This record gives sequence, structure tokens and C-alpha cells, in this order.
Amino acid sequence: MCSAENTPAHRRPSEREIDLIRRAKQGDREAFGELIELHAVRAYRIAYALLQSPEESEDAVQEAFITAFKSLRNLESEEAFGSWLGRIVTTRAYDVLRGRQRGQKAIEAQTTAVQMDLAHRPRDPAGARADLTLDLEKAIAKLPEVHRLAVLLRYSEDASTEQIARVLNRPEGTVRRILSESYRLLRLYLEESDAVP
Amino acid sequence: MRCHSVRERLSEYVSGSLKPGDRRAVEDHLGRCEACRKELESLKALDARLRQGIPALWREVKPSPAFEARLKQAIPAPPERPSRMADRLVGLWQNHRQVLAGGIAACLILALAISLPLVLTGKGVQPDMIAQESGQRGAPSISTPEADEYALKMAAPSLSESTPPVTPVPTPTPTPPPMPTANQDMLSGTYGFVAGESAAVPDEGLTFSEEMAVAKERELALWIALSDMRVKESFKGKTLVAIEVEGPEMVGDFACPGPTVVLTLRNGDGMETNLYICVDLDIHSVREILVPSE
Repeated sequence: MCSAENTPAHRRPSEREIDLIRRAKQGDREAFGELIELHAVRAYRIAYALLQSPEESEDAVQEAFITAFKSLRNLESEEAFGSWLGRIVTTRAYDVLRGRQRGQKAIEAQTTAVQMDLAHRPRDPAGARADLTLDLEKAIAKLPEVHRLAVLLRYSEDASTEQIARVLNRPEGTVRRILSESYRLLRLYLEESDAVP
Repeated sequence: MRCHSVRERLSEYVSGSLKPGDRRAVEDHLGRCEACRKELESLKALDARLRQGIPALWREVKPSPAFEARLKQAIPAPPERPSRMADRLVGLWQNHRQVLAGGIAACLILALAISLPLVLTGKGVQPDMIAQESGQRGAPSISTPEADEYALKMAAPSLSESTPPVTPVPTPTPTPPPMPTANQDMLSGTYGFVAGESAAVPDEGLTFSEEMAVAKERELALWIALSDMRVKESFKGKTLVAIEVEGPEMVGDFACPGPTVVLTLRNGDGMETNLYICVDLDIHSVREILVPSE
């Protein structure tokens, strides 16, 4: 089932996956179903990095997969499927952010900073998890949406600037600035949390 | 390389993913700049913390157990098989797409270069009007020197056949339109590709191939925007004054992940409005159009 715990966009797809993509291009739903198994979790993580809401992230990913299936014929290089799908997910997540804004909810990282652990993992009662990690979570959650995604892609998938640029659909120079700004903010947030007794 | 550019590259320097040329430039700078060396040490500490903490956080983010099944159910039935002719065209495209794409791109650029300035300013000859005056229909309506020549040729026989009064039709001499270049002032306004974020804050460090890739995307975005029927509708009764292709754009409740094509239109009263067109390059369509003042 959920066989793609770690399916980074920049991993070169196997021959089998390329075959699946080619079949899906011809409208083969079964092949596309297997692609869903390979990419759903990562797609969800990308959406969640931007939205910080499990329900909205699942909806955005669902929309993205439907769009991808309908537009798969436009994909020229099968090898680029992962980053192409990531870009569609990013775009759909932006739709959701825009919807929030229309609902008079300002897109501010601070106000949307729902903690990852609240939604996705139980508290460790023994306190085995280091406070440092908790502080890091808070600091990352405070980052602006795109900054958060760029940092998560860099450190969770070891993605290069070029690979992040493909997912974010922005020039590499812009991604460098985003990452540089993210480090500045993270240091600021972490210093703040370190200063609190 | 200046401090600003070096600091943007320090993360890649730490991870060892910097290109050799950049790496040498960063090391040269670090040898001379104490502030950047301190920045490097600080970044190394943060980098280690992020490498240790983030993968675990990322792995813990998972969708609900039934999510994959829900996704599979949501996938619509495949689109109907195209006709045999369409199949052949698709096959032709797939087999020769680089050549065809290059040809189409060249034609589009040439067509834009020739026709846009004249269409925008109305300074070109209006061959259909000439044809109408002389009783002809169906002359090409595109105002190009070739079209003008065609229209005049078509008009000529009817003029010669017509009986008095024989009034010579004034034959304006169409001047070849200038080729559009970046930020070139043209007749009724400015026509050019303004590099969104890059215009405001130069994208230092973009390689030539990156710049070319960005330029290609902007060109594609403009083509998609100008092909959209709703955009064409917005032109009615207005003059196109300027075109810009921006990156991600947020205007009020309009949030476009980019690229955003911004068209400045002027109405008969001289009032100008900006039309924001959010383009989705992945599915080759316009996602949203915003006219803030309307």
C-alpha cells in the first residue's frame, strides 16, 4: 500500500514507474492508482508544509491528483513526474490559502502556525523527545509558508536548490534568497525560544 | 562575490552542493571576510540542528489511513479516446516535438513582433477597410506589410473596373514595425517583459541557462494569457498600454503562485487599469483574472 514513505521528487524514477506514467498518460486509471501509492504521502507532506491543516491538505492533494491525471498528456518528460506533481500540489495549496484569505483570514504564518505535533503525533509523556526538537518544530511552524516548504524539502529530502525551485516553480536565485531568509528567521526564533527559561 | 551573494550560497557550501566555480568564489570571499566566516559557523550549527530534527518531523506527517483509497476513487474516468486524426497529430507532436515546438515558437514570436505594435497603435494599414471601400470582402484583417500588399492588390481590379468618379485611393506606405525588445518604448506605450521579482531585486547569481529558462517561462505565460478568451474580452474598447510578466503576485484576495501576467489597459477616458492574469504553466491555462478597480 503506502509504499512511498520516501519518494523524493529528485529520485530517478524506476523503469517500472516510467512505464506506469506512460500507461497513465493513455488514461490507464489502474496505473495512475499505483502512482498515487508511490506519491501520495510526499504530496500530502508538501501540502501540509504550506497549509498546516490535515483536512485542507488532503483536499488540496486530491485536487492536485485529479488535475495531474487530466493534464498528464502535457507532461513531456516522464522523469520529471515527481517535481511536476509537487508543483501542482503547491499550486492547489495556494488555492486553499487564497480561499482562506477570501474568508477574511489573513495569510500569516504566525496565525496559521498550528503545531505539527498536535495533528500528527502523540506527545511523548516521558519527555524523551528533546526540547530542542520541539523548539525546532515551533520555529519551523512560524516560518512563512513558502519558506517552510523550502526548508523542509532541503532537509527532509536533501533536495538541491534546483529541485526545490522546480517544486516551488520559482527561479533558483529566488529559492536561494528564500532559504537564506529562512535561516535568518530560524536563528531568530530559536534564539527567542532559547532565551525563555 | 559580495557578502550578500556569498551568504545566499553558504547553505549549499555547507552541504557540498555548490558548483565548483561558485565554491571557489565563496572560499575566496571567506578568506577575506571575517563577518561571513562567522555567518558560516553560525549556519553550520543551525544546519546540523536542522539535519538532525527535520527528517523525523517530516516522517511523522502522514495523511489519514483511508486517504489513498479516497484518492483512487476520486480519479475520474479517462478522457475519451481522441479521433484517429487527433491520434496522428499527437503522434506527430510526440515524435517531432522539439522541431515543431521550435518552429511554432519562432512563428509566434515573429507574428507578435510584426503585428502587435500595429494592432496596438492602429497605425497599420487597415486592409479590410480598403477592401470594403472598394467593394471587396474577405481581405485579410491582419495588418502587416504583406497583408497590406495583398489588400491593395485585391482592391486594384475593382478600382480599375469601376466607372467614374475615379478617385485615387490614398495608399499609405506601411512602415515595417520595429522588433520588440525588452522595455522598448513603442508608440502608444511601453511594451516589454519586465522581470517581476528580478526587476525589483535583481536575481544575483542566476546563470545564463537559468535566465533563459525564466525568459522561456515568461514567454509561455504571456502566450497562454493572451490566448485566453476572457482576456481577449477584457480588451474591448481599451488600449493595451503595457505588458509585464511577474512572478508570484498577491493583490487583495488575488494570490497567484506565479507567473502573473499584468496588462495595463487604458479606456477611452484615459483611465488605466491593471489586469492581473494568473497563469498555470503546468496545465497551460489561465487560473484566474483580476481587475482590481472593477
